[in-house]
Amino acid sequence: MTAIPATRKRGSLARAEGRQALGFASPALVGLALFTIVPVVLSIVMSFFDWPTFGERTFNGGANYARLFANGEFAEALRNTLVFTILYVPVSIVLSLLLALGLGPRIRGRGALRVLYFIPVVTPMVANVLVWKMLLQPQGLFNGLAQTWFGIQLPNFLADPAWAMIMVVVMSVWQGLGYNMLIFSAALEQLPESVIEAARIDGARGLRMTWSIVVPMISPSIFFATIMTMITSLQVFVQPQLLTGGGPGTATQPLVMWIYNQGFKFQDLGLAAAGAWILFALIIIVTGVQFAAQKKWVHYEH
Amino acid sequence: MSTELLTAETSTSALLTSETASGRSRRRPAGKPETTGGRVRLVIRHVVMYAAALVFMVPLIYAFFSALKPNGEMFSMPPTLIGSEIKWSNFAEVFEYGPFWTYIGNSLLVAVVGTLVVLIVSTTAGYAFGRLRWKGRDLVFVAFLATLMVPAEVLVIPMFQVMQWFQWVNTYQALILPFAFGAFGTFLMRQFFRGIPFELEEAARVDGAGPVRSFLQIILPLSKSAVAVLAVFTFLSFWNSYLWPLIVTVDYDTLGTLPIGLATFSGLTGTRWDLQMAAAIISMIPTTLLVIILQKHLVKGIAMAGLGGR
Amino acid sequence: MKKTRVGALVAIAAGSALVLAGCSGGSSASGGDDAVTVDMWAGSADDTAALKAQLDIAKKQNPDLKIDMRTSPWNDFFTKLTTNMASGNMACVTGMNSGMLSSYTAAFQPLTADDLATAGLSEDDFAPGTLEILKNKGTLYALPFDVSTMVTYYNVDMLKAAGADTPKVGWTFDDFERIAKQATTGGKYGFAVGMGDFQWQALPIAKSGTQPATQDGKLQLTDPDFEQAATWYAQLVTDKKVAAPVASASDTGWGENQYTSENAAMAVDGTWNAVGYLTNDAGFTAGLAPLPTGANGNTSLILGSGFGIAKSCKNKDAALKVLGSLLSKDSQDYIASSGRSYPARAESQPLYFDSIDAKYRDQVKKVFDAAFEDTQGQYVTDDWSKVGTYIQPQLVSVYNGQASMTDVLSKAQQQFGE
Repeated sequence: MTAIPATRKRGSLARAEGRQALGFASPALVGLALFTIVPVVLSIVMSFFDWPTFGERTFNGGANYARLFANGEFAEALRNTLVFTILYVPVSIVLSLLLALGLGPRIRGRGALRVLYFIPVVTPMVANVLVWKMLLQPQGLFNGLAQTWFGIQLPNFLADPAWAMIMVVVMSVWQGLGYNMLIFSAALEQLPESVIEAARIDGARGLRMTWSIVVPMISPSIFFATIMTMITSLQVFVQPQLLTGGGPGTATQPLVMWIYNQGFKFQDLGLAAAGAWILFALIIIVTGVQFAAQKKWVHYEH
Repeated sequence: MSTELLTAETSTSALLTSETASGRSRRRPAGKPETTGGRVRLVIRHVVMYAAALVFMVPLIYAFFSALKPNGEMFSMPPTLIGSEIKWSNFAEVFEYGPFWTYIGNSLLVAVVGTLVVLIVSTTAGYAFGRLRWKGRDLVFVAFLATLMVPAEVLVIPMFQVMQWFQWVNTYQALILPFAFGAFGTFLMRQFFRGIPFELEEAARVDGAGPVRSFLQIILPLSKSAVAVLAVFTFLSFWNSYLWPLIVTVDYDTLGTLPIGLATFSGLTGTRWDLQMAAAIISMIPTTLLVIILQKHLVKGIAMAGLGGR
Repeated sequence: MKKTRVGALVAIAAGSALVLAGCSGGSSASGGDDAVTVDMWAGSADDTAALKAQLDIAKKQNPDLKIDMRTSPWNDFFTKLTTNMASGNMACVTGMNSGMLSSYTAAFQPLTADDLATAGLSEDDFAPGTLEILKNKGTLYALPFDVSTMVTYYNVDMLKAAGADTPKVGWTFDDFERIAKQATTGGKYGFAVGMGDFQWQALPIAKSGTQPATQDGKLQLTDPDFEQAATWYAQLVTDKKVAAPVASASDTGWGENQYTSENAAMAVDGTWNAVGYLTNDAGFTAGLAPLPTGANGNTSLILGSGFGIAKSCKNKDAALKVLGSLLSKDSQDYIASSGRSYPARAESQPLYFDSIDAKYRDQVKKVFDAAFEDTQGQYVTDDWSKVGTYIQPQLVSVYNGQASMTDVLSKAQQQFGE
């Protein structure tokens, strides 16, 4: 709901505002037209063609899309992406919220702590993956400790179909926590004191204070973070590619990796584009559902 | 999508800023809890947060020490923290291996200019989508937002084609501009701007200020923390960007960026893990510095006098 | 007002995209029309310098031609190549590796005897068998600058410490198993299995004398001999436990890493790494031996890298001349004497051994001679890269004991065979 008063200013004033809006939006819209719309349209076009990297391009209608639905590996990649998202998004949001809540005003050195939590976000993925592999492999740290301290042999995490996805999620959560934590920290920092005080006077303390007062008040930013996290996690690629190579077999191969393989390894750009647009449709639907559901849990002040 | 769905997130933006809060000082003195129980809880909280920070840092500490190992000991079993020798020379060797000063310079140039472009584009567009009213505004915004949902991997080749038409292949413009108009920044700023109470602008409007002055003198100064968040995230995304620079650059020796530099350590004859780790550590320094500098800004608040209530 | 503006923009963009889609290919090959561009992979500054040196030789031999060079890191050379192919930007002279050729044949021009003549080369210049490296189904697409085959590398120190024998020229598969067992002690393994196509298939091919594809390009993963040998190979990990299970499907260099980290005493890799392993960072004494000999000999694949001419190249003759220079005696002598690669040109090959440290020279020469005696060009199918992409991540499960090699091979055969 906007804060503009009810009187509608039609006529010249509104038109002037329209023109100024055009002025303000023009850098973005020009950039959009030049750099986004053309490749996007081109890629939609490609999805209806048999478009090898080199050679004849022939129109083939929806044949690429039909192939997708007949392709078992595409379905599996889709499923993997969904599993990753379902595991990753709640864990990431909840943990980063807890971290942000934990870094309340009374914690000394919270600025430094925030930077520390953010460092995994800043580290190149190559380094992150190498280190996690060294921790997780049978010859690695975790198994070494498990054997010397407890005498048990841990499973070969990244080679086990069940564990591999879990480990991809764990590493991704660790790597991405700082990002959402920063958003939530900013939100928490500026909660209106008046409401908190009023609640405190009414007897709210600790957990109850947090759960019934603070969290609902920052629910709009939780919503924003959830939307963005969900969009990026449906497009996950680099973490599984580097950590497990999509394996074992195709147990952790996300959709974007499948798309990438079709395009860059198997030279079938049309099929890759078709896959990408299916993913796009999925993301739109998921986002749309979230927008519709927000009435149930997101609290707005007005 | 109906307008209503989009206008609902007004408060998100309000919560992303610290400046529009009611007149209370951000730096309220951290009063000590009165009860022993309260004090104990506080200590426990400290311990937990610091322990968590340590857990976060373990892989990174490991990465740092790995960068100091000789190449052959990277995967030795049982795994060791410190290798048979501490090779600080690895960091220096990185610069001998390839033109890493060039890579760093290019990455800095691209990331800084790119971030500036994104900030300008996103704040202006966010203002247009969030504060000004015009026909079709929300519909255009939804379409704009939808572009976020197309995976970049599939846009890369068509985008390269576009670069060929512009004859921008192997140029700095190609590294900076094509992905600088993404919707994320505009989305963030729009959300943020919508939360600024209209009374502030209204007062200025009544005084005769147009949208431009309103934007520059009222909205922007209030938006420092959102701008800082966007700056950090954007810088990071340019800094770590790999696929696009790989594709649009031909002369890696002169135009290559850091992630490409990191890739050069793997070859047909094996990988120089030690140097790759050292290079990775080096590449973290500017972004970490940026976060440290901007961190204060991200969550600091300024008391705004005369703004009772929300 | 806003809507119509945006609408018009979208319409224009869509229209131009459609027009473009109608046209085939794209713009002309890169560079000025008279410049010949050479595209090759390179990692370190040393790699780039070596390429430049070869380019200088080419420039000297062709003073009237303008020659450019561009490079990419090895891991992404083929990503870049795909983009260049898709946008009509391929360099006239492009590098190619025997393992990847099958996916890129569409982009290269087949080379005829006349082409070789234009380049100033003749088939006799090349060592026997080397021209097979960059042929696909009998058609020659590129000319090799180096040639390699698979051999077994071992760690002398580890074998001695375990009291195991040392692999020798002419050793058998029984010797191999025995040594592997002897060396598996004290938390270390005698052998490390491979994840790359060449690395893991080497021993099964040598043991069975059969390749997983026929010469005319049909898939035969389930050929009984090959399947049996592949199963034996996997059982080195699961049953005989002389090799460690692989940790992750993204560890594409598993065997080689285990070897250089001294976790395993033996590993199979290509001769292109001979100098690297012999002068390894970790400082252990290394040795090499041909693949073990079985009842079917010790067939090893002959592999290598080379240069081809892009189909989209506008000045084929100039490109051929550059190609000829890159493979000329001077250029081949250069890479041989710098120890960078074992050249494909027969007369330059001895220089390679001269460049090797005296203490290894004899061993390397003997092993090379023995290994190259029994080689075959690699037979591949049209969708070979799909087969590899399918099988490689499954190998992790096989080595982990959660899938059987027979299962994986038959599923792959079912999916990709005819």
